[in-house]
Amino acid sequence: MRNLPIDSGPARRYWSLLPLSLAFGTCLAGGQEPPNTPVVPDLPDELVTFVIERDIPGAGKWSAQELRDVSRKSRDALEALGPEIQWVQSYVADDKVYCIYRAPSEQLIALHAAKAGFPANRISQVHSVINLETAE
Amino acid sequence: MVRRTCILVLGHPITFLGDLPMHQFVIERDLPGAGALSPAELQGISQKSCAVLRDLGPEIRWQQSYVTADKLYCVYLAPDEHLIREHARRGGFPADRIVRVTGVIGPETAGAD
Repeated sequence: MRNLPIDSGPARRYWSLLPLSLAFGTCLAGGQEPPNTPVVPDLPDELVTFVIERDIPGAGKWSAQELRDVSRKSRDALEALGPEIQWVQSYVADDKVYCIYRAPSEQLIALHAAKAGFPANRISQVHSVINLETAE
Repeated sequence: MVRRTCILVLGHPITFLGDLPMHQFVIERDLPGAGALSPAELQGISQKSCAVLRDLGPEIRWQQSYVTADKLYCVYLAPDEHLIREHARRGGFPADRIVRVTGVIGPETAGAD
């Protein structure tokens, strides 16, 4: 995934056809050994959760209208990127916004931020989410 | 019986416990190697947190924590930052940054065009 263009929905579908076309080509060529290294790049099918820290001085003082405008900017950028990236929610606090997103890669998170015009000062993959139930 | 009510401020729910307003806080806990913690270790941390919460009473509540490689982002409800700090102190947890949440936004707050 990392070596591919991020906005590559159709490209992913073509890559998925590659093993089939290679197998067919192998038959025609008289049964050559398939390469040991995977031909198809490692494409994560599952979305990963990320926390994004956005340093935005004065964010904690945003009005309801400003919160809606920011939400719309984010939503518009998401729509342009397709269904692979999802916004869960964001906590606006003081001079930061802590965002929870789901995406197949950090690159897509960074691309969304660039498209929306948001800073993304720290992007961290979430390894687990714990709460009261984790203690049981 | 404690009375609980909930109102919306800027689209953000503020919970009242009795007459006490409960605010949401994000706590950044710098914890190198957090992402490598085993399920058993995470359970141990959660149990420690819960034990302290029981001692502190119903005024402080843990919503959830996001565990990343070197940092935990925790979301709590409490009347003030002091109680958040006390929970961290008693639990032996770092609390490198505590900020009060003034708004929660998501796809639904974008509204209709």
